[in-house]
Amino acid sequence: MRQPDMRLRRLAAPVAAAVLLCLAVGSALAASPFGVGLAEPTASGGLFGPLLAKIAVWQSQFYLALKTAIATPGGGLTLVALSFGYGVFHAIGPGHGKAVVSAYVLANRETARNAAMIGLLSGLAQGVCAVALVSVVAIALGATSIAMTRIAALFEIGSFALVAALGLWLVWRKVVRPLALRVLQPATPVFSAVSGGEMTASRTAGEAAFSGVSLRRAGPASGAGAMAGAGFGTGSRAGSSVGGGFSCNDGHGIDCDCGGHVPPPEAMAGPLGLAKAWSAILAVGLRPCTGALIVLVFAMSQKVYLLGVAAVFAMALGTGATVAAMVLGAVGLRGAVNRASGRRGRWLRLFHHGLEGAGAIAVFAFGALMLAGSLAAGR
Amino acid sequence: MGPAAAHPHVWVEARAELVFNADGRVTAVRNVWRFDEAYSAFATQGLDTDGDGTLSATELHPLAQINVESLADFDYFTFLTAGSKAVHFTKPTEYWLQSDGGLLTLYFTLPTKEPVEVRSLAADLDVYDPTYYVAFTFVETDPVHLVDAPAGCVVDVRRPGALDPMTAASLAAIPADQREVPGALAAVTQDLTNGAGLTCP
Repeated sequence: MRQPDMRLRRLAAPVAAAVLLCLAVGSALAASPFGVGLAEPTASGGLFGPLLAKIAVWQSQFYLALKTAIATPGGGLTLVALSFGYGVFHAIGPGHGKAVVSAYVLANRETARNAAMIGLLSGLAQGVCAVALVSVVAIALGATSIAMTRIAALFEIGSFALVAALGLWLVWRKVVRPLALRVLQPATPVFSAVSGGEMTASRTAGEAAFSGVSLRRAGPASGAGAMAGAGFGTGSRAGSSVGGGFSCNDGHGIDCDCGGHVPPPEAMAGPLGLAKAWSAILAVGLRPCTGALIVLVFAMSQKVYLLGVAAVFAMALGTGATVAAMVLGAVGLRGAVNRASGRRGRWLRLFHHGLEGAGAIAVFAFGALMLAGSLAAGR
Repeated sequence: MGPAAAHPHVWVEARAELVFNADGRVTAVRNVWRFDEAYSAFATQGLDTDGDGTLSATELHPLAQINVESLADFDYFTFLTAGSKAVHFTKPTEYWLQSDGGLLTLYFTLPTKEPVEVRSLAADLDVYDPTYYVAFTFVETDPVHLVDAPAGCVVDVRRPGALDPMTAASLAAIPADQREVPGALAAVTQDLTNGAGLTCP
C-alpha cells in the first residue's frame, strides 16, 4: 500500500528541489537601481499603506541617525542603540522573514519556546551573514561593491529557493500526503490525535521506516536531495523526532558561510528540536540586508569596522527579537483558538490541519513568487 | 515596479538640466546626482585599483556603467511629461562618475526619443523613486536649469510637503503605464515629491 507513495516521496521532492536550485544558480543579478546593493522587498499600500509609510519614515530616520553615529567618534553606545531600533523597525516593515518563520512555525506546530528561538536565530543569522560577506569578500578579497552585490544576489536567490523548497516540502507533508493517504487508506486514521500544539512522537512502524529513509538521505553526499529530505519527519507530528539540516557542501552553488548546518543525526532529536528548523532559519538568514552591508563598508571606510560589526549585530538582535515576538503572537493566537474551540476533537483537528495546510501553502507561494521575481529581475 | 513603503538606502541630491535645440524643443535631460557618504563608500569599495587613495574616472567607469544600465529598469527615476503625455528617453549617451571628498556624483545625459514641443503645453519633470529605495532631494539653488530655452519659459519647483490635496489626488489618477501612485500612499508620495513644472509661452 505504501510502496507507490514511498517511490513518489523519494522522487518528487528531490527533483523539485534540484530544479529550483538549478534555476537559482543559473542567474545571479540583482535588481537594484544602481546595480550595487540589493533592492529591498517592498510592500504596496492597501489597508496598511499609511502605517507602512509611517514605519518607513521612522526606519529611515533611524538609518540616517545611525550613519551619522558611525562617522562620529565615541558614538559607540548611541550607535548600538540606534542599530537595535533600526532592526526593530526593519522587522515591523515589509519583508519576508517573519512571514516565512510564522508560517513555518504554524505549519510545523512548534512550541512557543521553539518558535521564539527560531525567530531570534533567523534575525541573528542575517547579521552573521552580512558580516561574513563583507569580511570575506570586501576585506579579505578586496572585491568591489559590484562583485559583492553579485554574491549577495546569489545568497538572495538561495534564500528564496530555500523558502520555496521548504514550502514545497511542507505542502507535501501537510497537504498532499495526508490527502493522498486519506484517499488510499480510508480505514486507517491518517491523523493521530492532536494535542494542542505539543509535539508528540507516536509513529507507526511504517512511518518509522520512512523516517529511516529520510535520515539516510539527509547525509551530506546526496546533494539537493538532502535538502528536500531535510527537516521533517514523516510521522504525524511534523518531524518531531526526525529531521535533517540543509546540506550545502556539495556544489549546488549556494555559499554557506552564513551559519552552521547539517546537524549530526544525534542533534536532530535534541530537546529544543531546533536542528530541523535550520532550513527555515537559513532560508531567512541567507539574505543579507543591504542596510547592513552599507553600514559595514561605511564603517570600514571610516576605520571603525568593529563598531560596524557591533551595529550590525545590534540590528540583527533587534530584528530577531521583533520577529520572535511576532511569531510568539501567532503561536499564542493558535493557542487561544485551541482553548476557544473547547477541545472538541473534530473541529480542533480540522482547524489545525487547515492552519498547517495554509501555512505550508503560504511558505511555498511566498518562496516561489520571490524566487521567480528575483530570477526575472536578473535576466 | 509598484509604489511601496520601503525605506531609503541611498540619498541623492539632484540637479537637472533641460536641454533645448535651436527649434526650441527639448532634446535631453541632464541629471547630476550626488550620493550620500555611506552609499558612496559602499559603492566605491575596492575600486581604487592603483591604490593611490583617489578614484579616477577610469577606475569609476565600471560603476558608472552598471549604474546607468541598472537605472534603465527604473526609467532612470526621471519622468518627463509634456501636455500630460509621457516623454520617452533613449539610453544615456554620456555618463561618468566623479568622486570628491568621499562623495560620488553621477552625471548622465538622457536624450529624448524625439525633440519634444513644450510651448503652450504644461510640461513637468519629476526626479524621484516611487519605491522609496532612493531618497531624492533637489539642491537648494536652481535645481532645474534650462539650457537654450525659448524666451519666457518659467520653472516652478515643487519640494516635499508642498503638495496640496488636489495635486495629490490628480497624481493618484495618473495612468498606470507611467507610474502608479495609489491614494493610500499619498503620505509617502508627498514626501517624495521632487519635481518642477515648466511653462513656456
